[in-house]
Amino acid sequence: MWAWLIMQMKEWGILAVAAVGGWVLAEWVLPLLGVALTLGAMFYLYSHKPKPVENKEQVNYHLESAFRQSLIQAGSDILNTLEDASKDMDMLSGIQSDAVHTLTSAFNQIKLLLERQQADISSLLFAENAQGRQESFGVRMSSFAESTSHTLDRFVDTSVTMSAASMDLVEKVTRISEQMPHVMKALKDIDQIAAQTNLLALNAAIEAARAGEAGRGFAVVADEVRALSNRSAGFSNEIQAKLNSINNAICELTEQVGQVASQDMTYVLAAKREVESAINEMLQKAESDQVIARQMEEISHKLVDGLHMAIRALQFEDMSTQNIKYHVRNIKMLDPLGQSLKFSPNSIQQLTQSISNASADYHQQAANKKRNPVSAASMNSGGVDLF
Amino acid sequence: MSESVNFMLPERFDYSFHRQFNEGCNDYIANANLNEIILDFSRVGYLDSSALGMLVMVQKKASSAAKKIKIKGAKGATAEILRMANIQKMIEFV
Repeated sequence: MWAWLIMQMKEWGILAVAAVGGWVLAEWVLPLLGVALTLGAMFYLYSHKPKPVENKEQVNYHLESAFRQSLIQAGSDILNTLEDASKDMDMLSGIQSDAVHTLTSAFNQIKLLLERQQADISSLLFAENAQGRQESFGVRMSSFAESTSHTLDRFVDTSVTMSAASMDLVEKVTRISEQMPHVMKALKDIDQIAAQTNLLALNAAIEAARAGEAGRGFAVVADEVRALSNRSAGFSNEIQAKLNSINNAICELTEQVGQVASQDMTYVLAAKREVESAINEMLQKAESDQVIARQMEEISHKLVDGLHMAIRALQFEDMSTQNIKYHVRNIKMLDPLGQSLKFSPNSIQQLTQSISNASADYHQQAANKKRNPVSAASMNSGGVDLF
Repeated sequence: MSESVNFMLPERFDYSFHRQFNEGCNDYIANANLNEIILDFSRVGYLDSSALGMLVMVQKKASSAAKKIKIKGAKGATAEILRMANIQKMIEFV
């Protein structure tokens, strides 16, 4: 039983060893063997390869004369063309720079002139007021209009007030002169009394004379009374004359005051209308001037904006010049190739060598050269750096 | 005490009319039966500053007597002069 069991285990161990050995063989040994075989084959092939370079070195092929001549001609033509092209491109860049500089300075001058023109226009339409502030003529005109019409109103008010005062005065003076007849009548009464007293004194004198010596004293009194009545009549006349002249003076005064009070208002009205219409006209003119000034200012701004755009667009000169320089350098890089053709040596190996040198040179330069600095196709794509 | 009177003014309302104007107005103001005097300008074609003075004066007298003055029928240049003199601020236009 044990022996059978041990036998069984041995069989399984052998099977396991076989399986592990097979797996190792498949996974590691066979690929390594393949690689070793490949390396061996490569080594064999390499060591048995013929060596043509050594053979070539010893052979020296010569170029056919006509072929060499045409190579030389081609090289020379290429060099000439390249030189012409780079010269022309330099010239082009020069012409372009000149033109652009002229344009730029012309635009700048136009801009300056525009700015001056704008300043002149605004100094025409605006002026400094007393407070040193800029103020349009329209504003000044309206304040002038306001003060003028205020002055006219005040004039009218003053005239009316003065007339009212004068008329009041006239009325009062008239009332005084209306008292005159009463005073005159009183004076007339005094006159009558004087005349009657005079008559009485006369009668008394006659009676006294009739009385003789006894009436002498009475006659003296009668005379005195008569003299007094005459004097009072004289005074009354004097007062009447004075009152008459006062009355005349009052009449004159009333008339003159009346003249002062009676000012024709029609011309004031006409003057006021005239001033108002003149001021309106001036205001309208100032307003339309303002509108025109604003329009001109707008146009001016647009022109300056346009000029700025034009000046900005002129920066293309820089782009274009850089581009031309880049291409001139590119053309120059072809020089060695042309040279190697132009001075084609006799032997094909030397020619090959010189061309491959030139080519290597070209590739070296091409590797070192800068990218085209100008990549933008238009101004708007913003390929320009303003310094 | 609620009567009103129409005072017709002449074609030329100027200084020459002042005596009549004052007398008329004084009578109307003194009349206790009247409380309103209407100055009729419908015939007035010309007035000078003395007329304006008279209006101011009569307005003062009337207001101190608690009576009303009104203006009626002013037209053309007359109305313009009255407005220019700001009479409408003191006397009512009807």
